[in-house]
Amino acid sequence: MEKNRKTQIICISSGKGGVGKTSFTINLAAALSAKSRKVLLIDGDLGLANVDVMLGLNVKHTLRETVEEGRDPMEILVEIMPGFFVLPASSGVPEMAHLSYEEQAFLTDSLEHIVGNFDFVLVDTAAGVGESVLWFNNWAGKNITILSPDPTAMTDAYALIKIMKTRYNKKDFHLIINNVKSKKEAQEVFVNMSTVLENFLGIKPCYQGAIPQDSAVVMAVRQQKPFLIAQPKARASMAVMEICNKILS
Amino acid sequence: MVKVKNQQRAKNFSDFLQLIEDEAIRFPVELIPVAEQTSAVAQAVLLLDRTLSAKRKRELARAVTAGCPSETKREQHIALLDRAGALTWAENFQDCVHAELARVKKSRLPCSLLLIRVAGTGERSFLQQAAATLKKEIEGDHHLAHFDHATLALLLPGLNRNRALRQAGAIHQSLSAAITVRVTIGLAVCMARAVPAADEFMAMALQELRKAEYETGDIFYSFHQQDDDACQVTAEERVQLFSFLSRGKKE
Repeated sequence: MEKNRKTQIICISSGKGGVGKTSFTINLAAALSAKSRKVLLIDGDLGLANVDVMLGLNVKHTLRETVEEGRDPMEILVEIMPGFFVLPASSGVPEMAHLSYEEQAFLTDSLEHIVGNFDFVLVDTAAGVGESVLWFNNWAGKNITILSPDPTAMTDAYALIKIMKTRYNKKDFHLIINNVKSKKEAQEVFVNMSTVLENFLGIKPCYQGAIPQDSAVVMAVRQQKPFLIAQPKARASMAVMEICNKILS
Repeated sequence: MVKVKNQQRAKNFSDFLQLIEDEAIRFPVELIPVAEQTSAVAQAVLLLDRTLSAKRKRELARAVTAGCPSETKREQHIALLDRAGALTWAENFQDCVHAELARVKKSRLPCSLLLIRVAGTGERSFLQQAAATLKKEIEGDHHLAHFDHATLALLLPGLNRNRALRQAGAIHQSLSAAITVRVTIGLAVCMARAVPAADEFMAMALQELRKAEYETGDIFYSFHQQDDDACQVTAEERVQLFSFLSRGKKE
């Protein structure tokens, strides 16, 4: 593979679970690869992975082997479609969800060796504010936070951003509002969140886009396919393409 | 594993054990000479992780000594090294603190450091008296050392703020009963979320000790409470976060 590209590492988090991180990340990866970019999707939910499930993969090797046996991540890579690669993680392995400082550093070091092969590296983190979530967010050059109009999702997204600002002095956050009824609702949620972030943390987040409520999303999850591939004309697919174009621009 | 320098200096097994002890004192290990019950001469030595519980240490020691030859038909016993006159000094103690802080990062368990100052004239003898009193009180995984001519340092692995404060209170009470001079204590607590360097951690405890010396109250402590709370989402933030929902309801 061609190395030393100018790789952009993007971490996608939400705080709360079930907000649509994995679904969005998979579709963003598909959209970027459709635009001829080489994309690596890292399943950052190291102990309870879902990326492989959502893509219908039957993986043989996972990042657990990198951490425990020192296996080269390049040997674990799974190519989903031209230009779209996945680094799957293990599921039902509590030890992987609580890596020690040294293990996490070793994993990051192993990943550092391969990221230069890609234009984009997307990290789909676990829910919550566990060490791996914070670690991946700190590692990434760009942080996307997904939230929905629910109070719980907003609180958890805010809490995650607050931790990243307080502990790691991260200030640039990009918000995606998922599962909205309308663009107006998305704007209201963004403006509200943006006001609170600015008032209390001095952070001005960037509006990355919104994804509307769409039955195509639910159907694609059941089909274990990206909705962008299963139903490219669906409203959610168009929204992801819009976000993809924004990232590329 | 403890690497023994200058092995050739050891003329006999006793010398060799002494060399091991000299090296081991720099590490967070408990050195346990193993001797036959009828003899005071050590025949082997166990080095056990100091942070293990006393129960676990006993289990390990029993398991190891169970493998000793039984032809002698004499029961083996474990004699803990009496460190009454041989406390480590600050420079070696700093290595222990460093190792302990690394363990905090890994195990996510807190650790606390007490600096106990014995004031007044004739401090040296008071200090020895205090050390002897403390030795009876501390548990197996605690580490006691000299900090300076008038101060003892006590490292308490696994102890959080509340437990360390209770321990400091108990120590203060027993030392005040045993010796007639004023006893002041500075306490620093290290949590896994914010592990300082060893010298910083010791400086934190020292700063608290100075406060205790010059202010009223004999025990002062420092704790990363603010760092923790700084990330907490406050009630005010929540009110503003949810304000758009109430606006939507009104509309």
